[in-house]
Amino acid sequence: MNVQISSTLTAAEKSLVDHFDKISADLPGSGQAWIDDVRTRAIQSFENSGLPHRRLESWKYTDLRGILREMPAPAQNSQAPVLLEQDGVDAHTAFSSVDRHLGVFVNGFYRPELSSLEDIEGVEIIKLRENFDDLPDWVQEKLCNSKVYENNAILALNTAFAADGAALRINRGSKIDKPIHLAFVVTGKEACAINTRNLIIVEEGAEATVIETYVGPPDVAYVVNTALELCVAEDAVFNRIKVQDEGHDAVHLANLIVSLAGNSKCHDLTLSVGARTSRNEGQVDFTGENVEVTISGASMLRGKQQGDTTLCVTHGLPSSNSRQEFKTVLDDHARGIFQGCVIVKPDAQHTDGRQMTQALLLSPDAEMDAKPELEIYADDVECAHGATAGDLDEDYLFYLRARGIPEDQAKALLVAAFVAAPIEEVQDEGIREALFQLTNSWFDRRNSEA
Amino acid sequence: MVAVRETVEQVKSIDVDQYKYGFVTDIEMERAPKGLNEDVIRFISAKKEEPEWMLEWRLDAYRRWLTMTEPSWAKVGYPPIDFQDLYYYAAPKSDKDGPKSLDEVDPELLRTYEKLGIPLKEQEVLAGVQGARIAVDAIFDSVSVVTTFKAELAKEGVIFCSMSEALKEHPDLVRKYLGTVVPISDNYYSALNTAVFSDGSFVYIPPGVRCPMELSTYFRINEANTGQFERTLIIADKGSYVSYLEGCTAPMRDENQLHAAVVELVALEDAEIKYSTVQNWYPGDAEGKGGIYNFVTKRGDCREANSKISWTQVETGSAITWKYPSCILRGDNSTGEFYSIAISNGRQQVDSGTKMLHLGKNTTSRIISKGISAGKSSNTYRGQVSAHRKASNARNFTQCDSLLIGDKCSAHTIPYIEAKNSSAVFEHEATTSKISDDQMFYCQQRGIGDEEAVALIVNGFCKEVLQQLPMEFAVEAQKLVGISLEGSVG
Repeated sequence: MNVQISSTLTAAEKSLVDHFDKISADLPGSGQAWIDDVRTRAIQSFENSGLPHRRLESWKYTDLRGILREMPAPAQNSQAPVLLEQDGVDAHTAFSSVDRHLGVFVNGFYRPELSSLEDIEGVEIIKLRENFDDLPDWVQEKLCNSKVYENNAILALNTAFAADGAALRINRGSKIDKPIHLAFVVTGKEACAINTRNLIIVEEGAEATVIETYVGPPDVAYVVNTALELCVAEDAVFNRIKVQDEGHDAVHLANLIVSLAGNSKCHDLTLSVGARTSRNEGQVDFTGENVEVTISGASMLRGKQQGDTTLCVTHGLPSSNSRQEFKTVLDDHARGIFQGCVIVKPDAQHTDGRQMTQALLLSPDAEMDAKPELEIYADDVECAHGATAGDLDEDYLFYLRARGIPEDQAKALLVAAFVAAPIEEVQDEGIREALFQLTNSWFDRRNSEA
Repeated sequence: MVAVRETVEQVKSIDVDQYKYGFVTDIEMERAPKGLNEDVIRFISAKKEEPEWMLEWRLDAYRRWLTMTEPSWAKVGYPPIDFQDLYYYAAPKSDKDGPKSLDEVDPELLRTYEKLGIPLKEQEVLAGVQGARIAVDAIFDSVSVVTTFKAELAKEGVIFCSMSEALKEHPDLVRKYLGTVVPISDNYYSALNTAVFSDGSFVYIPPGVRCPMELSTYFRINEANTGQFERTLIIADKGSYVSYLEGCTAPMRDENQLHAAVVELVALEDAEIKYSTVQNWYPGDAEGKGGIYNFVTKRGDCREANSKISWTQVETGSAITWKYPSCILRGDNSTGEFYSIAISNGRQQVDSGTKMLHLGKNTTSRIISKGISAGKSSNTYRGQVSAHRKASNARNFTQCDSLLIGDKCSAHTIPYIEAKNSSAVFEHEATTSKISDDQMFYCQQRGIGDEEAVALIVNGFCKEVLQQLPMEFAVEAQKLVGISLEGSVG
């Protein structure tokens, strides 16, 4: 039910348009006709649609227009020193023991002195801000593509505002020795808006793993809008792990656009534990046959957190496998949302599409809304989806308590086990351990923050 | 195997245009002027000799309807409907004074129902081979022509009559319950229905009574350019039980016809209502020309504790089906069930499903939906299961399976699952597949032809739902399954 709403903009929407007028001259590459044009068209597209609201079917459960009453100004590129390693466990420290290449973005701007992204064999890395005057064609071509933000106001905003980001090209046949970790850190006490745009191209037969982490201060109402465009070529293998551990007053909006060529393999896992409101939106398309893709995730939310995962996998060609597997743990007044869709077009015979979403509600005030959709136009396919929601099984708790495990510990154990399934499929042992460290400490962190 | 053989015979005996109820009865009709305005509503209300409050209610609905827009969220496509190009009331002329007994009913009407296989003469029913007795309310276009077995039902205190009669004889009961389950402005079509509905069935089962026979309404659209708007209200008082069946057919016409019904069920403490539908409106021809637009609002209210409402539907007809029989599980320990088979062939479009709204404690619901698409049709399951904050220990199990026959059809599943309570346990599973080559091979190896094999496999696929139907309907439904899929193989 897409209702056309009158064009009066809310205060937050107006300030977004005003901010754009103010800062557009400072954006990287400003003055180059092509990028000015891209940005102007994107902000115009946003002006026409405004922020998404619950009368749009895909935003039924997350009323962003109501949630974002005010819009902070875009972040400034300051070179102030930052303390990356915090006390306790967060998404950043959890990965510190993993042997990886590190690229750090502070408030959305690349910080070379904190990073170690130079000279990785087989990878070409373009920092958008640093290299904007000399962008290679493969980056420019993607940034010009306005098709991706049609009907996606968040992506349109990202296109207009993106001030920095990384573009990675994994060269043909290269197997990258270590994971590449892109760490997005927010610091400071001032609320700000951070827009980053990333691009990953995995060429024929290449293999790579990329980690993205998002952390920030606990009591600043900042807004992160991040987007990743991912293109995986024939026979390539790509793994992506994203950990969203933003501060509990933050709004995190993420878009993932994936295009997979024939015989490629892609595994994507998102762990969401942070942000007051978060939305992970993904669209996956195939440009070849025999693709294997898994999009999975775990969300662990409490307090008044709201986490939305919206995902659409479109099978346009035959013989591909797709899997979606999502786990949601909800405590206190938290609200989890899963909207998944598998579309099988008429030509996509022999598709195997699976979708599973499971939620664990630990508190009587928690809420889970799931909308797992199948849309099928081909007959020779196997598609299935499942959805469950419920409390912890009393029998399991009893079993553990009968063996002398205190109730809190038993609960923590069961919760960690509940979210373990998608994490266990991560192949890199170091990354897996880091993820388990985060999920296992979720209960303790909850108690310490309470 | 008997059922299978029957299915196959049925399929064989019918040509490409397999709709056997497509004949037109030539009977003199009285109609309201074409179009819709307050005068037409006053005309209908006056025709039915309704009390003042009914007219006010209708006009209120009409005024609200004017402010509403047609819903567009369903996965169905059709040209805009010109609501001014319809007749909102059509009644057989002979019915003017209302038949006192069956003998006074226009023989043409009786012949129509005979042709449809619906015996209206009680003695014939009694003599029926199956021995089962069903009380029938026959609705022809806008009016109820006859209701059988009324006297016998009255002995038990059961009220089974047409809505217009109920308004005259039991106005208090009607006023108390009408519109309490589906409010006036619930949706576009229910508001339209409230404004112009002409007749329908009314059932009241007194406390503690188990209705001695199946109740049934048979809907028939006959006139061209008319819409059928009927309203059914079933009330099961404390501790009572009723099983109600509904069947529908219409002539084959090139233009589309509108059917917008509202069904309201109210189950009080410990009561149970079982509502079964075999919907076989004219589906249009293979190219999608003609057919009924079936925009129906059906809702049951488990108003008090331990009540139960069960919907079973076999949807084989209609060019477009837009129908979501729902249960409001308000009473503690109440139960809602929804069993559905939706078959689409040719260019039919089905967007159907259910809503289970858990409001009371310890409420349970069960949804079994089987969608079968063939030809160039589109078949969508759309359902909502939600547990309110106070609905502790709510339980739902949903299973929706889709079967695709042919590569031009489509099947969609759109469930909304909303758990606002941690003690709620919701399970949902759905699959989509086609009839596998192995299954076909197995049948062929045993000398079963292609079409027979498909009918056999599909009947097996639907078994869980077919079992829920009352005996007499189950046989008919099984045949329908076969007929609807005719021409879809090979």
